[in-house]
Amino acid sequence: MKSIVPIGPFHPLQEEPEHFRLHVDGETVVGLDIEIGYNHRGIEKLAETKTWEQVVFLVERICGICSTSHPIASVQAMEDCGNVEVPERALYIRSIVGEMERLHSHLLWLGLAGHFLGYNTVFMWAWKHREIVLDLFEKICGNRNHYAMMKPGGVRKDIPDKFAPEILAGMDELIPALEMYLGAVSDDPVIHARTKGIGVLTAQDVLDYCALGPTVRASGVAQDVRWDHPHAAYDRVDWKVITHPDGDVFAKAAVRVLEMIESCKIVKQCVEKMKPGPIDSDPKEIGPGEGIGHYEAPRGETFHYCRSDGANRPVRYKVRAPTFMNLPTNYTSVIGGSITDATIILAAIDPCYCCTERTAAIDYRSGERVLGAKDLIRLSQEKTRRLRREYGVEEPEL
Amino acid sequence: MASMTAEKIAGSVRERLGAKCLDCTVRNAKRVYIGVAPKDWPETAKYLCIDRKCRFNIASGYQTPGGFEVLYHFSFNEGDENGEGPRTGVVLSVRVKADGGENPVLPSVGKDIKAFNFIERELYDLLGIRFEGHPFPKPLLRAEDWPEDFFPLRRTEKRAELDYKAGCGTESGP
Repeated sequence: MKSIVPIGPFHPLQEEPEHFRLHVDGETVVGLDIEIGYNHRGIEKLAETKTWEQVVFLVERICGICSTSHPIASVQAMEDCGNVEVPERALYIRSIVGEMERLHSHLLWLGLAGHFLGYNTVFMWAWKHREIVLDLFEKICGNRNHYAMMKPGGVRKDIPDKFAPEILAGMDELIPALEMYLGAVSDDPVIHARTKGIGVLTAQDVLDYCALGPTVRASGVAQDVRWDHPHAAYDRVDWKVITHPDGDVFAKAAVRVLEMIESCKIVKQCVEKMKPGPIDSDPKEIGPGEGIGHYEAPRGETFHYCRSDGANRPVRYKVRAPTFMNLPTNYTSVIGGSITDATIILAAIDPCYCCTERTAAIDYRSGERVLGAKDLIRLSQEKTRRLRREYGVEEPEL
Repeated sequence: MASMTAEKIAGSVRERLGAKCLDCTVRNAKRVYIGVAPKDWPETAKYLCIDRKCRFNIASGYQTPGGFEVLYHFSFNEGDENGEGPRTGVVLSVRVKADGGENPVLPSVGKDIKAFNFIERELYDLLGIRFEGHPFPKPLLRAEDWPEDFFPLRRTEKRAELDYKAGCGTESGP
């Protein structure tokens, strides 16, 4: 029976609504339609009505999870446009906040991926460890999210030295936890069966789509804006770009977990290397011209372009979020796979989650609803249970 | 050193494009801006994406007093001369001024290079720039209830500004 399975457009866990229609023949996905634009908020148009400093707050609201990646890219675009120098301490603080954001974003992804595969223990552990990062954020800036730390020319708030021991202790607590995830993932045959060889993107695929972030690095391409276009304090600390050659869901998960360990190392080095000094060069104006800023958000490069006529607001502001480039890769990765794997493949690019709760399968001819949102997750979790029985792995007790 | 890289990249691109490169500015150590005519744009895009293996970042459109222009941004991810250490990344932006005045038209690159597909659809939805030969010119961001001639990012579009003042949920709808 041929069916169309619509996924989306809205789901409380995703910050960018999108609508997928999976064309399914039996259990195999044979076609895919992607629609976006359901929640077009006109941020670019709105930015033209805001002053430079207000634009930073506006772009912070583009995304709840990458809420510091957009401001970092934004202030870098303004600094590029106005040739503004940034004090060194501010660069370190930008890296610290950016990396801590990557930690909580990747932990969120890991937990949800676990949930979709039927590993609810992973979901709860990831949430528990994410709390360490969010508590540190609350301490540093007063908020668990939306930190309001960035401004053109520097940062808005300093990280006092007395917080250093606490940040270092938090990172030291996280590293063994992340290593535990790695251990748990690498010796579980069921996780291997559910994620290895699923939703494969080759290096050529990701280069053709100009995809970004962990989606690219999991296909063996060492591309990272932090490395390719050094900014903030990334050229002042020791870290490496994580890649994995396989291009499947497993590779994307592995890249994210290993990247978190690198993030912890970056934060620790930044805290240790940061020297006292000014945190803001306080530019009075952004001169006329054009500026480009980009930052490696948890999902890939976020790109901002601004154009100034010398007044106190931009005349054109362009934002490109990473999912815009990663989304079309689903045309390659989902088609040909099984419907039970579709949720995890769509989720593997971390599209700000895969809207499954709004999902309904419609019979191709009659238009009758045959599969609901929860049914898709159930299908996915049942497959894991079936595999556990086949491999003789015990059902975890919850 | 970094400045040399930007100048070197600008020099090699200018050399390859010859007279097709209308202007070339090295703005700073990491930013290069060049201009090409619409008819030379597909060739330039293929040269940068395929021959030079640049990564296409995105395109941004803008309505100037004289017409429309699109800036295509490309990342050069080549390493330094020894291929070691953090790379000195350069962003090269190609400025293409669209033909057609009020009804701007540009040749589509989306039919040859997948990465341009979505953004060309977005540029039509928001600025009304038509891409000739686009393989799938379906609305991407455009809402179903927008009038056909409504392009919110055009500076001449006054309806977009009125909507902000009216706010959402008025009698005439959001």
